[in-house]
Amino acid sequence: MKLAPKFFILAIGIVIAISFASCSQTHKETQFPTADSNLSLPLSTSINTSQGTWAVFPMGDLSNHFNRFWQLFYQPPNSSSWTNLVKEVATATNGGLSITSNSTQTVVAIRPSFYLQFTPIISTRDQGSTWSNGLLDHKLATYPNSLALGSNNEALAVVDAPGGNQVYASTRNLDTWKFSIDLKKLKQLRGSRLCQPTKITAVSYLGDTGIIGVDCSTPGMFGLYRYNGSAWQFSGGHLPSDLSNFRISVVGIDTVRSGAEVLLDNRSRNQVTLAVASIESSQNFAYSMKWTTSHILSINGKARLICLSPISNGGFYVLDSTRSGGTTLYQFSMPNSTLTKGIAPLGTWTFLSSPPIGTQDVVSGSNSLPLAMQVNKTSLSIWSLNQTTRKWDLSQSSHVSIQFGSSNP
Amino acid sequence: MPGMSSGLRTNNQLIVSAFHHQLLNQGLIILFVLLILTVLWSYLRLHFLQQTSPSTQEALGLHREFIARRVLRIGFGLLWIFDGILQAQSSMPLGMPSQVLQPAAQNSPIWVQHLVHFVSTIWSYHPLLVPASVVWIQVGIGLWLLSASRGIWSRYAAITSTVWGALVWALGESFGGIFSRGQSWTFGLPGAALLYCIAGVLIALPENFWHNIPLRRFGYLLGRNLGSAVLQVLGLFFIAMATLQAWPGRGSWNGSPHNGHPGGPIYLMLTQMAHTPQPHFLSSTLASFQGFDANHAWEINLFVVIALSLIGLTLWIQPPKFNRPALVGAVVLCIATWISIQDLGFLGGTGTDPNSMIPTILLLVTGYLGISKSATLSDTSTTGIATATASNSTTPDTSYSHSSISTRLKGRILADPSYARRTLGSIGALCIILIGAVPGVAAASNPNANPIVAQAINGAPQPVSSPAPAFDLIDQNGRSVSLASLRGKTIALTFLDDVCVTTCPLIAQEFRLADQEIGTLSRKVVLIAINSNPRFITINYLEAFDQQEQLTTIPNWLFLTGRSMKQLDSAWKDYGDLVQYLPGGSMVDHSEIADIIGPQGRIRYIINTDPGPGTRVFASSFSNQLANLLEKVANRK
Repeated sequence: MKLAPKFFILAIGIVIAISFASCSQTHKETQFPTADSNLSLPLSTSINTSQGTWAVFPMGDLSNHFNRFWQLFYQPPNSSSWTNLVKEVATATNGGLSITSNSTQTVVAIRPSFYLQFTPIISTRDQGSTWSNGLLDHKLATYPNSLALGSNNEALAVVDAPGGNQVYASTRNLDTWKFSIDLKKLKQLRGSRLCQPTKITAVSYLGDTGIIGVDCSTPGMFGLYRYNGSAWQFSGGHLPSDLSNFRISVVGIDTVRSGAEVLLDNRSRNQVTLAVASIESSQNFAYSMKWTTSHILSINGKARLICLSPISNGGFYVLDSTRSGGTTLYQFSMPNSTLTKGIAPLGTWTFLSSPPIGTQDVVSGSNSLPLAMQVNKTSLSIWSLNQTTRKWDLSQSSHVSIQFGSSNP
Repeated sequence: MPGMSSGLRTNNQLIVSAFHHQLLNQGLIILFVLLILTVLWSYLRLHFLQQTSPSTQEALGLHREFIARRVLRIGFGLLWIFDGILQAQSSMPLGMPSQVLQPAAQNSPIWVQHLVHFVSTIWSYHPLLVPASVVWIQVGIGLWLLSASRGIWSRYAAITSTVWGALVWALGESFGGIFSRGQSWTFGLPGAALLYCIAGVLIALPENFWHNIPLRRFGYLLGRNLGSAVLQVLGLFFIAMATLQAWPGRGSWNGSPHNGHPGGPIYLMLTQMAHTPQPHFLSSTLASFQGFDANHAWEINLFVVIALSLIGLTLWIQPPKFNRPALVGAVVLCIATWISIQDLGFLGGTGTDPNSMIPTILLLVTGYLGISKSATLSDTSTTGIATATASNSTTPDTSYSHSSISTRLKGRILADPSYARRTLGSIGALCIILIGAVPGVAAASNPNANPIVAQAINGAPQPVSSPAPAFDLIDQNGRSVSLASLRGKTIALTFLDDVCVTTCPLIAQEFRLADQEIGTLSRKVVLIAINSNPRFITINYLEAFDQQEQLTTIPNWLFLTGRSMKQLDSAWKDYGDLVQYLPGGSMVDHSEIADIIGPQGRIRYIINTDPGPGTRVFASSFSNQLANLLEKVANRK
């Protein structure tokens, strides 16, 4: 009789132990995408201007944020050599660089990193001989097209803010910026319900018309807004049936000849889908206008996008890296008679010869052939695609003496 | 700002020698106190104790301390002293937060981590007084337990031991890991300090509990005396630990990692321990056991589960024939685990105690003695207790209630001669605890870190006496500022890059903290930074930097730049600030120094402002150093 309560307590003890054991089992840690994961957008890019070609990409120890620096390279017109303009940047560039230009000036923004919370800006109007300062007193968002310059030197920037990202506009000198719009206000605009925007992802100009690109939560829609001189208006479009189930982000906007191309992106765990929507009018496109959409490019979701570079005569280079370390380069291009309205998919994705392993940027070269910027820590090798052999030829090598650990707090 | 530890290496010579110096100072004071107590003891012996004969004690019926309680008290007393000595290791002042406190809390819930973070902060801010206080508190508790064998002093000692043990368990051991994932008995669950607490409670309980627990229901459920209850609770605990050990999802059955399966916890723990410096005999034992565990983890775990279950059941049921074999089995299992898995608890890395196995063995032995000796002693002890109770009813304590204190004391000592020894021993132990604890608590209540951390990284301030070079620059509001215009003010002048991503924001925060620390003196002080970036020299950058670092509300903060590069360049050269573009992709390089300029325009000190590891501890320590220097210079006549 005396043993009964003892065994009762023993049973309770075992139950407690079992509960404890089941509560304290090792759980799998949740994996969040990091800045380097395949879900992040690449920031390496380049621009071709009448004053030369500019490229930004990372060098140093690419796996270590403290020792990874972004470099600003410049190739003057009619020259085959590239120069590193690191001295002009005059601060640590671990956060990345953003470049944009119009016909008169090129602007470089240094994305904040570590304890720096605002965005230093430098700009040149004379091919990099002299530079002046601007200042964006906010944190430039980490998107490829987060900074844009209009034909009349007005500028737009997407910035990170506590309640979601916002768009700021500058009307002079790039040192005075005013709040333009944020996601909350975008959502309230007429037509926004079609897209239901969740994030501002890009800004651009078509001439002097400001454009904002967003993520749409409505499948089969892509979200664009244009500034009509006094207010923002929804100007997105419907996608064709093969993209009607996808939730689309606008990740790149490029002005081409008399029109615009918008690089669209959909991501899932298994697949990255890219497409380009284009339109002929650069001035007054609106929601009602018909957008032409390209064939889609599907990339394995495990691959990592390395760069999305616009091509000087229209189109984009898309470079991705496979798990084994190899790279794959795709080129999107339009037929010469492009940018007319149409219903059928227009423009094609072409697989180009894989650039050398370690390529961090693909630049549209002077002869409309791509240049591959291959980085091995502090060494840069520039390769050009041979039109006849379709192989990559080394055209320039240089060494950048980077101080490892100099940004390590 | 990264990390709450100071960021210094644990063997930093300045801190280690200052810590030992601190211990020596407190040790000398303690020696002095003990000397006084020894003199007092001699006086008492001479004047009182010789008057009492041994037969008096017997006549009073004072029984000897029960063996199980004595083993527990002396055992844990020695453990506390040993732990105190371990706390005096050179690695403690700087290694405790990063190597002991934070790793223990790593897998615990966020509220536990916050709690540990709070303690780590205090420890890191005051790496001399707080660690020294822990040394003396633990040594003091140990000595108190040893010196006070019975009576009220002994119970106070036990209660103090329990309270301190609970603090160590919660704050130092993150509740022994009971809230964290993957913990098991072999790794020290439920935490050594909890066992110290349990021991403290057992010692604090009335001594007759070792013979018969008077609470009937409690006794009915947990045995008739404390020894039996201790063994039953341990038995239940062993069974629970066996269940945890056997639980499939916890990985205890796994050995080395293979085919995508993660390694078992024992294998991983041994791998981790292989990286800590330790004596050869231990490392070789661990290595060979790790090799064995890699291939036979399943069998090892099966053995541990069966052994724990059998021992647990035996301790719970307590069949007379199997008590001793169960005790021997448990002790052997504990010792094997202590050596092969727990690394003896203190020889590898920054050990603070011998881990959980020795306290477990002490509790087991105590429980066993409790059941085996209480029966044989029950008759005499019961008589003793009865006599003592009877004598207590006529104890001089009550009869002297209206007498003077000295008369009462005399009567008490005459009634129980060892009372004087216990009292003086307890007073000595209490003095040791207070001599350690009072400065430690005082330091912990200071929100600013000890300046020694900054000195350990940057060296001591360099005293100088030379005229400060003149400058003529503009501030963040575009107003002209020259050295002459600041005459009569004490100035802290440094150089900052307005687009710096790492050190300059940290230095700015150190200046901001220093301004808070000097309080009203800030009216006589000006904090100046001269821009050190040759490209971003316009005042909108200074404004942006001030905004970012929350410096806009500090009225005596001036961030200066030149109207031209020439003006700036001149200031850099005059103050020895070397500004240069670094070769590729990194920041502009400039000197990280600060000049403390007196009201008469003379430089009084030059200090290194390099924020080193950039921790909050360092920032607070540096700001304390800067504030001290500003006060010193400003108050100098």
